[in-house]
Amino acid sequence: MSQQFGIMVMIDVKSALKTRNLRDHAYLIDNMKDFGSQNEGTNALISKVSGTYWANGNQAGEEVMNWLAIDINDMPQTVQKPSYYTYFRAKTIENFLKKHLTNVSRSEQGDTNTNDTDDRQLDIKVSQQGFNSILEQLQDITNVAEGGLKTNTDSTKNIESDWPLVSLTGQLESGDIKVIQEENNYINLPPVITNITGEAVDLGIIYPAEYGSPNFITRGWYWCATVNTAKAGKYRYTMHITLFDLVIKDDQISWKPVQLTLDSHILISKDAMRNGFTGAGDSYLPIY
Amino acid sequence: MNYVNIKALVDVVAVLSNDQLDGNMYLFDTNKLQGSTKEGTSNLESAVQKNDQVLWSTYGLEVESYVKICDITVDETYLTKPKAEYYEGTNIQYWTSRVLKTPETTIPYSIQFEVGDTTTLFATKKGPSIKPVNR
Repeated sequence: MSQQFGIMVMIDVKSALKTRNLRDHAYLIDNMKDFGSQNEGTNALISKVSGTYWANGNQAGEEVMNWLAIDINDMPQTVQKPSYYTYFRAKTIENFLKKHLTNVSRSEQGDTNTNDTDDRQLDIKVSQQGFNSILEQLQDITNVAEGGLKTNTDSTKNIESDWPLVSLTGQLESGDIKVIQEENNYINLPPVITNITGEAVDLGIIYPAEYGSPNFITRGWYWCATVNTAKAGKYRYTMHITLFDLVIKDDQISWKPVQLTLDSHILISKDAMRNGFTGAGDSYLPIY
Repeated sequence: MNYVNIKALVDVVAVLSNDQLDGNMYLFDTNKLQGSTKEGTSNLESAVQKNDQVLWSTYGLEVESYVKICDITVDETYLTKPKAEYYEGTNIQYWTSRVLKTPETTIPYSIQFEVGDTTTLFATKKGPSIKPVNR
């Protein structure tokens, strides 16, 4: 039977952005401590995964790992965000490219009113010339690197936001933006894991992928991997994480994507799985 | 005024399995660059100075598990008595306090938690503390 393991990547986003150093401002915790995970709450977590085997030694099932990147400064994940808040977040991150494409396509058709808030109607009927123009602009913001599409951190374009900042207690801010920034009373856009690479992936130990979730509370996305528990050993993997830095120019807010990486380890053992659901405390699973 | 945000991440299943909070609760704050130490442990030392606004909130390692801060006890020479408030439209709390005086040394405080459906209140034997910011 597969088991779900969770790894929380707690990030002090503002400090990581200030120093451009994720490693010193990230702390990892998983729910496998009782199974033998080491260095919980540090940047050197080693997640222990016990293999599951039949009596003849064959692998009995894969384990499943899940990663969530969380800003320490953000509200608890359990807070159901007010509708305006969810809308604000969705608009600025998940609909970013869509909005960008819409405005470009409208201007291609001679529509100068590209500030129309009803930008969810994406009109893709653009000329070949227009399409090339869209591609050029997208290429400036992103670049296709090995392993997929990456945010281009050298881009001069930032993610624009027409919405006010949100305070640490979830209120829309209405005061002086510079004072809010000085006092640290705002929440950055949430960190996003954009890829998982490295030794554990190259060797076929973990098979990570990003999944969409219908649950708004989880902000719609999470990374998950099945683990090949047949290969015991310690393996390194690298998380590629995009943080969003607040940029204030002429009292306008925008967010600059900054891509950083963080290494972690997985330790696969041939220890027997333990069962905490028998009512008899921790005990070993029966092997048939 | 500067905001110092403190998060308590609780491994609820481990607390209930082991009947103790020590080693199963992780505290983090946003002031490491100002001198906070012991991040990711249950005895976090948060660097603060006079007039800083401190916020505490908590959640479980697995979001479906229940954990709540039910009291924070501080030395009221340095911090105002922490007050519980609610995120708008929710029954989820955050606690706030203002720093009255910059601590000269490390001053401990205590956080009590309700965990799962037990009636026991959990606190760490050696709790977190506040300390002066780096000069």
